[in-house]
Amino acid sequence: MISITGLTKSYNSREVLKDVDLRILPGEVVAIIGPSGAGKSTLLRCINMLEVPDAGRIHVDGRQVFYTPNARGKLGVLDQFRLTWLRREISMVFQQFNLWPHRTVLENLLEGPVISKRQKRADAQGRALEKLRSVGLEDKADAYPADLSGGQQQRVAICRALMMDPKAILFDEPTSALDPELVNEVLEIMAKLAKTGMTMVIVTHEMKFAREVADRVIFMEHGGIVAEGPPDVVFQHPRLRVYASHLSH
Amino acid sequence: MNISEPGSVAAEYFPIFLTGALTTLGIVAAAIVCATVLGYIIATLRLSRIRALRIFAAAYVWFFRGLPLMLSLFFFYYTKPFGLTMDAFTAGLIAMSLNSASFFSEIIRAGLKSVDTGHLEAADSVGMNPLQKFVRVTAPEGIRLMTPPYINNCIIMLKESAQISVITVPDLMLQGQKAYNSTYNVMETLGVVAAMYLVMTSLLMVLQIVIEKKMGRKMGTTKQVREAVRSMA
Repeated sequence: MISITGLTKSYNSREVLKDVDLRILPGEVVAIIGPSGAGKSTLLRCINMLEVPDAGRIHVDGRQVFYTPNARGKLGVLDQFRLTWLRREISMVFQQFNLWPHRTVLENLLEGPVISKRQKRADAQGRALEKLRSVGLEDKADAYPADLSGGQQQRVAICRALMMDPKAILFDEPTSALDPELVNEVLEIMAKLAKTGMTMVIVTHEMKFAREVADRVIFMEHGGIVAEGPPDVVFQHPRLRVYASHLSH
Repeated sequence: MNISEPGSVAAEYFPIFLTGALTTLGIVAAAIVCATVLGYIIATLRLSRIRALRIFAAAYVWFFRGLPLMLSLFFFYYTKPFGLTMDAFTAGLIAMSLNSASFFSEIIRAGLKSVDTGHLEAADSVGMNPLQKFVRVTAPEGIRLMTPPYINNCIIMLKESAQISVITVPDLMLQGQKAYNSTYNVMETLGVVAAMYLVMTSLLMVLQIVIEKKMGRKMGTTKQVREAVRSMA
């Protein structure tokens, strides 16, 4: 589904990703964990080119992603036009939700399919309401994001990602900006989604969630992958146990 | 006609004042359009990645923001810049546009910069191209923040347009001056002119309140907008 080889990325001569290889299979749920500054989010954001790597090959669904970073390490305008296909195949859920504040919940869900994929509004609207129902927010269709709690906003953001009918969804610390009591409502929906066979790559600090829901856990430190494999195995890794013991303090 | 009778001067000159007011409205409207377009260009230059363009734009803003409008008016009307002879209306329009563009560019720059990067990345993440991203996210979010200071600046332009009377543009101010020069009834002539200016600026103020209220309600974030606006002013 997603295959990455030799991914390298630096910010001002500080190496954030060092020659990273990663393979994601269809239907797989992969959790990326590790201390802050390990390069987890950068790796995730390189998959859909929100950050542009300095070197390395990326294939998505068998198709190679060609890119050239501009001076700021982002995509140039031409590449943004050229790579819209990539963003339509791989959705993203952000730490800060990033719903558009000037549009209602329903409009937020329709932007992707109607504006970007040029689907019929009426069809998309039916699907959007269905998605909202599945996360228990059907009564919020006409509300503005500012009227919702963080947990509700993130559930809407997950619906927005699903509206693209993506081949995979990237989650960038989806619960880190939430009040503790709102974390579970989002994790529950992600767990449900994992059961449907959606391909998911999740950067998270929720160890329990990673352990219970992920098919595979990747532990990163200092821009490289230290350990990867089934949760039970990776959580026994000595480096991860050091990290986990820091977390519990 | 007995000009000592109260109200008679105002009544006699009212049609002339009206044509003056129309001239004022015309030149201000044209200047707002030109200054907005130019201001937008200067703003994008100032946000450019190319250093030389940024410096040019900053120099432009520094120059015109720091010069009296009156000086620019005299310059374009009396010095015949680059051998160009122009009528008073054109000279006034150019001077006002160049002058106001410096203010508009700052307002537009602040508006564009305040658009949340995350909201733009969200647009990327659903596969919008740069054009769609601008129309669907950058413009609506930016305009919401720009509107209050933008209209405020339009009000200032309308008032300061009175200065073009000095280079003989037959605007409302000049018609008022002519009227009191020939009647010596300053109170009555300038009183009517003042009322007409107030009507025009009031309309803009009402427009500002209506737009602010409408956007504030829709967004549910009036407070946020107000704070952003305050930080811009």
